[in-house]
Amino acid sequence: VLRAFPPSGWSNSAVTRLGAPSPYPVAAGPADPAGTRVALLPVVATGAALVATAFVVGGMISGGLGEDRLHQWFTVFLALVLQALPFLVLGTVLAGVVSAYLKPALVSRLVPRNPVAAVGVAGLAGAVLPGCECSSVPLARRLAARGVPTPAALSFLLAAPAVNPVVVVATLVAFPGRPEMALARWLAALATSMTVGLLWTRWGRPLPLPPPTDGVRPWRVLLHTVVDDTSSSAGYLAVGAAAGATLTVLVPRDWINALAGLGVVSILATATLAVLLAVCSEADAFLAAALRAFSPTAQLAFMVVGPVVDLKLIALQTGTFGPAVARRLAPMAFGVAVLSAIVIGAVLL
Amino acid sequence: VSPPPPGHSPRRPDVGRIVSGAVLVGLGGAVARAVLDDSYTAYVRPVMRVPLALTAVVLIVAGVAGCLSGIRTTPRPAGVAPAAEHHEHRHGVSRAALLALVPLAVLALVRPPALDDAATTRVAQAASQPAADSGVQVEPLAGDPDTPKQMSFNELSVRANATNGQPTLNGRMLSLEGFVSKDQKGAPAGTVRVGRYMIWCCAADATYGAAFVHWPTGTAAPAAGSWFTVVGRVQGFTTADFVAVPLITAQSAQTERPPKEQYEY
Repeated sequence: VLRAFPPSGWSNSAVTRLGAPSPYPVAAGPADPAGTRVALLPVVATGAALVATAFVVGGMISGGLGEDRLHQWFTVFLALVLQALPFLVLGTVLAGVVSAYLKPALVSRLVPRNPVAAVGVAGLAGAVLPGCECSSVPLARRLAARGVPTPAALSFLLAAPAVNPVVVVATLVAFPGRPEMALARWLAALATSMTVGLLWTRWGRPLPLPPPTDGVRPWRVLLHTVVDDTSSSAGYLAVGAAAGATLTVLVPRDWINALAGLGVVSILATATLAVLLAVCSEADAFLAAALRAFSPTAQLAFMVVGPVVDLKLIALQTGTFGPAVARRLAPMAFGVAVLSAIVIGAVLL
Repeated sequence: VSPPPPGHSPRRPDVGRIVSGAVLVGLGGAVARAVLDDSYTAYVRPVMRVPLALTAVVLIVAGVAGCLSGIRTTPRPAGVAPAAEHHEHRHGVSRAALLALVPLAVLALVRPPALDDAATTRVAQAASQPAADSGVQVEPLAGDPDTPKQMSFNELSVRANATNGQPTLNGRMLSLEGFVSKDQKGAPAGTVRVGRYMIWCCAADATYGAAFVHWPTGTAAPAAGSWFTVVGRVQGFTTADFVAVPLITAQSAQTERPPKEQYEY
């Protein structure tokens, strides 16, 4: 799934329009207001291609798409949308508050100048946002627009869904008597977010920024950010949920348990499962605990990959950040998350 | 997609924001209805009730305010460069917002029911089902073995497949609430496959737990999809699709309406 995404030959227009990628824009520059719209066509195309491919392949495997399957598809699609929507709205409201009231001067006081330190601070700051992965995508973009360097914003984006207290408690509850799972998850998630942030300082691209809002009254900025970000993010979420529902309903079931005993392969299997299922980070620990046939490290990989890469996140990130950012971020986050899970799992589990 | 560029020409409605606002109002209304008539439990856990209600309120309020703001655009404040002024995209309709019409349409028009048992080929279903002899240990069951004990199909399935689980079930009287499967695959002759879904997070990760029930004579016929409370004794296990499934001899099978919350949690 990841290697095929996105198809090669996409234009880099979202990035080239922004001008030179380095140094990272510190404040909301004169970004092209059309920049964020450029990303849409590839999102729709990818979503349509994913859905179409899955339908064709799934149809060949399962012998056609019956009425039952269609009902399941609708049910699972709505389930994925409704589970994510409250967190998405939380994220866009926070994004609106950031756009309206967070002054770039305050950002430059709070965020260290040293990029490595900035990534570390941003990753730890993720611990205070009780959201899940959908909340942090719009928020990260608006933080970047207020002057947070891109690597730090991405570090926050990847850490926030997995290191906050709600997720830690959920993980403790899901694995009774095994607090080391919650600790391992917390450490692996933090390591993943900071490593990707650091890699981004070297190989990353800047986030396409929304146009500046200087001179507009704060309440208006708040309102417009909530309306614009929620409506567009809900659209991207719909694409991701459609792809997730298609794969969930049509992919045959036997492959996953068949891989349970196979060491590293089993870890890649649960990591891939996390990408396909697109379950909220608030609840994925329970599902990980239910993967009873798998080793603790494979369960850990499920919980570390899910909050940083899954189908709905790929759709949200491609739509919000543009394909040039998303096609680096998703594979990088997947690879780093799997490695973190393997290393931390080997030490702690 | 884009927030407002600095300033607007006076008296020029922002069509894009009006459309976005309208989409949010519609989505908020559809979510509100799903919460009010409890149909949201077909998709997510009951614990999502309050978050979804708050979401509906925010969507409707922001949507209405966004529409009004789009209709009554304000003159550009002084001192702002008109850099973005000539961009035509500025008042274009956001196509991403239009994609949000898809869940709105499904929620408002299709209103799909809770999952039925036809979903047995699903990934999560297989992944979260314990493989037979999965190494899991369970606590013994307390209480008198002859008094029917209420049990979820999830616990039944976990116990049937735990390393030390089958002795805790064998010979026990159980009371189970579930529906008759449309798909009777793997059911031994003379038995009926009865089961129920459990969800961790939402219907995307539903796990189906089932038992094979020797139907009591003289009770309502087990029509596919109908709900029953089955009271009976566990008398052995059989393997279907690599998973151990309990065999239950029912003493009674009471037909009933589908419960308001159709999944186990």
